[in-house]
Amino acid sequence: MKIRRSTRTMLVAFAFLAPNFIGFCTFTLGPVAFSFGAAFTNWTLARTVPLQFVGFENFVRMANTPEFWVYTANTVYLMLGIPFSIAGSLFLAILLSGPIRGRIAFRTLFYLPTFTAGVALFVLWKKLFNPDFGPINLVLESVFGLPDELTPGWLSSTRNLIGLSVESIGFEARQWGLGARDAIMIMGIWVAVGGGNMLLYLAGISNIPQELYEAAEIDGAGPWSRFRHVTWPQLAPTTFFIIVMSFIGGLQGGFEQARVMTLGGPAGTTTTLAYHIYVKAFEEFQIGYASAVAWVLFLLIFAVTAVSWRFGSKHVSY
Amino acid sequence: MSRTDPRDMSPRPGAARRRRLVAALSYGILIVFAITTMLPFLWMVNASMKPLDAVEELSPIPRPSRQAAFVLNQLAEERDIALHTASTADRLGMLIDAFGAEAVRAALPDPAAFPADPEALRQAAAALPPAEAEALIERVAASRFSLLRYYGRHLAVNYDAVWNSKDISFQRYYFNSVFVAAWVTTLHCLTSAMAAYAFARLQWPGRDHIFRLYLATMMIPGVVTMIPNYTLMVKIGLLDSYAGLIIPASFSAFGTFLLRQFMLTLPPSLDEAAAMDGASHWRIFWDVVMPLARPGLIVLSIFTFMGNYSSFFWPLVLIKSEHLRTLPVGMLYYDTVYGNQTNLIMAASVMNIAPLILLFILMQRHLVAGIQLGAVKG
Repeated sequence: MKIRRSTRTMLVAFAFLAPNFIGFCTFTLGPVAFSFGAAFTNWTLARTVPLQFVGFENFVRMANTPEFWVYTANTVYLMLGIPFSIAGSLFLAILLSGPIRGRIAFRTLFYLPTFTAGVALFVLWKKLFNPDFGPINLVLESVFGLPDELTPGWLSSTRNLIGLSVESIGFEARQWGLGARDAIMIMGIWVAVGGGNMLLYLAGISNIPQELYEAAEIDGAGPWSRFRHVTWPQLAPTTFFIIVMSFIGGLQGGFEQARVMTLGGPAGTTTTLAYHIYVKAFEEFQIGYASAVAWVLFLLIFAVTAVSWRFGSKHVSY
Repeated sequence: MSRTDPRDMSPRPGAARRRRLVAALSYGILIVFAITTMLPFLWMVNASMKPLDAVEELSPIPRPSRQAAFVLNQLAEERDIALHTASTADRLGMLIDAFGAEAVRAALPDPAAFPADPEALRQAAAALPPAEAEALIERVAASRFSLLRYYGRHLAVNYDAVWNSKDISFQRYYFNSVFVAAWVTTLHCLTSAMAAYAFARLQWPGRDHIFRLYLATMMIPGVVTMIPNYTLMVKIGLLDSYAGLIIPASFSAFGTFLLRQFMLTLPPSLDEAAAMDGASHWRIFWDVVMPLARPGLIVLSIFTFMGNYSSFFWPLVLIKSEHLRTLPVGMLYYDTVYGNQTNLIMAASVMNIAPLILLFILMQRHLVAGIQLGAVKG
């Protein structure tokens, strides 16, 4: 008996797909469904109470816990570095696109922090930020003559640049300064400026037709004008993509930094949503509640993506 | 700027000078950024080659008293003398013995007043007021200081302490990290390439729906799937095992997506020609498509390898046994145990990062192309 050709192709396709698809179902699709279910239960690994569905209780509890909102604010605060890092990436990409020797050497160097980012690098920055012995404060004292009591407390301080208060959402004058969140933000900018975003901008710039610049030059456009009317609009799709990806990354970020550098402190100021989920799930074993927070994070990311798709298709054009 | 701005009507005599100015400014800014990028790394390497009490000094050149102490220590070690019990005369004798009487005599404020004979000089110098004698010893010792020997010595001591540490087995962690990352890279590339072949080179009903399902899950944050995956590992007994580190990391929608994009760019006539010759699908996949997809595979394997080598969350929650820890987790514990020994911690960090830097420099052309490929099409 002869099997039909299309059936045969389908069997072959399934055979090729199977290893990946089984793994995909086991470790991605299944867990997503499972985690959605778990978010509506009181599941804890300690099992002090019988497992049962509790409806929206986890979500209600979350909304009524001030810490949850503080951690959300922390997450958003750390994302304030994103515009600076994107602007820096664009700036570097423009410089590197000029008539520069050693372009590859510079590019390699700038990309190094992104490539090596991880526990070792975070341990390094923890040392750099040490308020008493770290080189950053030593430079502030010996080179810039800042008196000891004025140097920032960095990772041990709850202060921040917008005066966000500690235990609730609000602002306090005495919270102004440079603290743990700023340290992590500064480190994040240092890591990201010469990273993937810069490479994307470099690729974007090399794709801009040279005629546009020639035409602008004939019209007498100066460097700023060429940037404003040629480079920037031509790079709009790249910028848009980078902003969306940075937002998505930022919302999920901060876990490694918190675990390695601060354990979420001082006073929870570096606890982001991702680190909060880790603590709830793997230190307090509240699987149900942690899943609920994870789903809130997922919905936030989903919302950002959905809104940006809408906005993107309307406003970004070539 | 207005369209008739006379300054921009080139060529003009000022234009060349202005271009040079812009170029100089560009180099200046790029160099400032390059230094800012490098400084933390340089500090790390420098700190990893220092004795602990020198880490707080910003300058890479130790201050004179430390230079003198280092030279004296080395001499005492060579001569098997216990430095902390040695008298002033002993130490002077040591210096005269090592560098000659003339070197010590020349360092005195009034050399002519002292005898040239080594033994007489030693006694005369030892009879000086203690502060003067100590200053003399420091001057002579510091003048023979070699930066190369200083760093060479502490580099050897620190890295040896980390590499052969008793409570933290870095050698084991290196092996674990490389072993796990190598397995993950192999399996991930294979499963992704096979799935990509099914998506890019075969026609079958429902293909685009399933592909869209893959795409949709790429947006799901890792934290959502981490918790169920962890409980799954507990259930099937893979907690605290190599298999638990390797298997879940060997499948991804991203890898499939990347290779599918790559395979779509290959002309379909290739498979058709091979099929005409009677080649099986596996033959077409393995002998025709895979060799042509090599650039994509290289990019994916670098990403997978380094991503897994640096991965932290999963090994942190999954591994309980000391001997199964990977480097990032080992690094965390090293920092917890030896937290105050900055020089050792930095040596460990350097050892952690060095393979990545090496990989990066060797592979950087592929990587840049890959990052741009992955993102532009994403």
